[in-house]
Parts: sequence; structure tokens; C-alpha cells
Amino acid sequence: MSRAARPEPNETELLRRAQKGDPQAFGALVERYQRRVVGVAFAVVHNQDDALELAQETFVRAFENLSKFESRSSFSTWLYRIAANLAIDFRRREGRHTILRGEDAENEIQRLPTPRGDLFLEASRSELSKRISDALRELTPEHRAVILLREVEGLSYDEISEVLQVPRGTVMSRLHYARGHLRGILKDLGETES
Amino acid sequence: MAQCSEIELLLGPFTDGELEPHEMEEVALHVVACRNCKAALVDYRALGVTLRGAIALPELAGFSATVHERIQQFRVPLHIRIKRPFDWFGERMGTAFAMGAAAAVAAVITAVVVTPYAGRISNALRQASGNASVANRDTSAPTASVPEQRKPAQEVAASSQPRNSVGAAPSQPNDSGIANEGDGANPNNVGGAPQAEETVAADSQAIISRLEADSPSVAVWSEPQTDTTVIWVPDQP
Repeated sequence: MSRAARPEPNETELLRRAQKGDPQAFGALVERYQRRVVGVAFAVVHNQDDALELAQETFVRAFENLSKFESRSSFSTWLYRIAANLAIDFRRREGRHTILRGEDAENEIQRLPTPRGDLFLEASRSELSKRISDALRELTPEHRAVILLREVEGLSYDEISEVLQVPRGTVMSRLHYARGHLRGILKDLGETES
Repeated sequence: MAQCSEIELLLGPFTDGELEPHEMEEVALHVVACRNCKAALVDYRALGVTLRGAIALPELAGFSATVHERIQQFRVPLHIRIKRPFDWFGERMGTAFAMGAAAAVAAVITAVVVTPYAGRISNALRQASGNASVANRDTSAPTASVPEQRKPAQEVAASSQPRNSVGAAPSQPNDSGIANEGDGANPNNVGGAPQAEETVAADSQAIISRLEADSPSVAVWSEPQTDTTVIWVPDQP
């Protein structure tokens, strides 16, 4: 006997149940937003392990404070903002403004998808990733966070402005600077490869 | 035409689709004609693709389970725990309350709508049975056929006062208008003569209707055991 698939509950319903202390409903919200929350944390701290820890802490804080969430912004933006605040605090506390752990950088490169049977392409991808990782490290955390939130996480300027609590104009100027810097590095890389 | 230095600032937002429509148009027109800005635009687009390909986020296996474990340890705030039973009750009993309220409203509406008609029907039936009993009444039956013990308290209480009753045939004249009309219809003692009884039987419906119309406080009832219709007219002030 075939069983009809249950429709996925919408976010409002999940939120309502989670606000009443339903951990299952909150678990569904975690599943829905975990990747992006980790991405936001990673954009600020630029470290995988720290990003994972901060993302977990983000969801715990969100669960604790769900009753304070008043739907003035979207739930996702509210989550990203918690993640960004935690990550910024963490970065200030740890003093990791421009330091990326060597192991993490290596792991990132190792985890990159590699095309089979093309060692030259694989090597050049690793090289490209390494250069980009180096280029990102050269940026200030503020510039790096903005470019990653925009290019990797796909947040709009208004969302970035709300998450990082900076004016929209600041978002635009930081993006312009970060893009110019990375473009120069990529250009050099391209010239070197050719 | 706008200068490259002006357009260059807008290339990023142009790529992101974050410009106003007139700005988008201005940049697009410039880029078509400017080789440098076109190259910059291509680079910006390539940069996004490269970054998305180069940034590897950590594996998320077991992430939600870890979060779940952590929030299980978290104690739900007191105000939420207090609210839970009420929410539970509200969710489950809400429908029952709504149906009960709807039934109550329907009952009230039914009562309001039906009651006047029920009263009229009841009166009509009572009058019809009264007419029948007056018409079929034995002409030799004594006029004061209503047993004293079956008289309503109202009538008993008023028995010492002047009154006009068709069935009970008051022996004294009444100076009320209604009573006078009744007396006018039959100036003799109503209960005293069979001929007078027949007249009353024929005209009883008309008399009852007239009495009720002229004086809402007139009471009419029938005594099935004695086949008697009693019309009670209140005392005049």
C-alpha cells in the first residue's frame, strides 16, 4: 500500500510549535538552516571547526530566545544575525583577525571536489583554492565576511546590512574593496598560469 | 556618457542586481561601449564562481543531532511550561467549544423565532377546543359547572370580586365594557337558559376574539372534564 508523502510543515507552523518548546519542530528548523548558519559563521571566523561550534551555539541561543522572536525580520535573518554576532564576539575574544589555522587551510583544500584522472587540473584547482584562501586571509575580517556572505551565501545587501548591523552603503563599499583586491590576485594567478 | 570611475563603483552592485532600474540601464549602456569596464564586469562574475568553488564548508553530518542533544538539556522556561496545558486544552477543546457555542446560538434563534408562532398555535388550539366544548356542551348542564376545586387560583382569588365569565356565568352584572358587550349579547343569565347557551356556542369564537383583542389580559381556558370554556375578565380598576 502506498502512503502519501506528508507535506512539509511551513516555517510559521514550525516556529509556533518550537516557541511552545517542541524540540522536534525546532529540529526541523535546524535541518533547514544549518548549512547557511555555518556559512555565515565561517564567513566571519574563516575557520571550519570554529564555524561549526558557533553554528551549534547559534541554534542553542535561538532556542533559548525563541519567545523573544517577534517576526519583525525573517527567522533566517534573525538566525544569521545571532550567528554573526557570536562569530564577531568570538573573533574579538580569540584575536583571530587574520590568522587561519594551517590544518584548517589544508583540510579545506583536501575537501575540494577533484576531477578524476586529471592531475594537472587537480593541482591547479588546489593552487587556485590556496591562492584564494590566502587572498581572503589578506582581507580584514569585515571585508571577508561581506564578500563571503554575498558571493558564497548569496545574501542580499539588505540582509548583509541587517546581519552585520552596518549600513547598506558600508556593505557596498566593503564589497567594492574586497572584489577589487581579489580580482587583482586572481588576475595575477591567471597571468602566472598562462 | 558616464565616466569609468563612476561606473566602476556600480559594477559590483550591477552584477548583484542591486541597482535601481535607471542605474542598471546606465551601467549596461556604458559596459557595451567600454572595453575596460566590460573586462572588470567579467572578472567580477568570475570571482563569484571561483569563490563558490573554492570555499569548502565543513561536513554537517550529525550536526542537527548534536544541536538536538544540547537543546534537550535546556530547561523550558517556566512561562512556557505554564502555558502548555492551556494551549493543549485550547487546541483540543476549541472545536468542541465552537460547536457548543454554535448550538447555543441556534437554540436561542430557534426559540426567538418559534416561540411567538407556538403561542399562537397553542392559543388557536385552545380556542378551537373551547369552541367545540361550548358547542357540544349539554344544554342542560348547570352554568356553574366549573368545579370550585379546579378553578385557577387567580379566579378563586377574584371570586369575591365582580367578574364576567361565560362558562361560570356571573350572577351579577359587570360594569366593564367587555362585560357589558357580553351582557348586551345576552342580557339574561347566560348559564340559566339552554337557548342562551346555544347563542353563546355559536358566537363564542367571535366573542373570544373580540375580548382578546379589546383586552389582552382576558384569560381563556377550557375544562375538558366538564366540557366548559371559561373566559375570565379582570376586574375593572
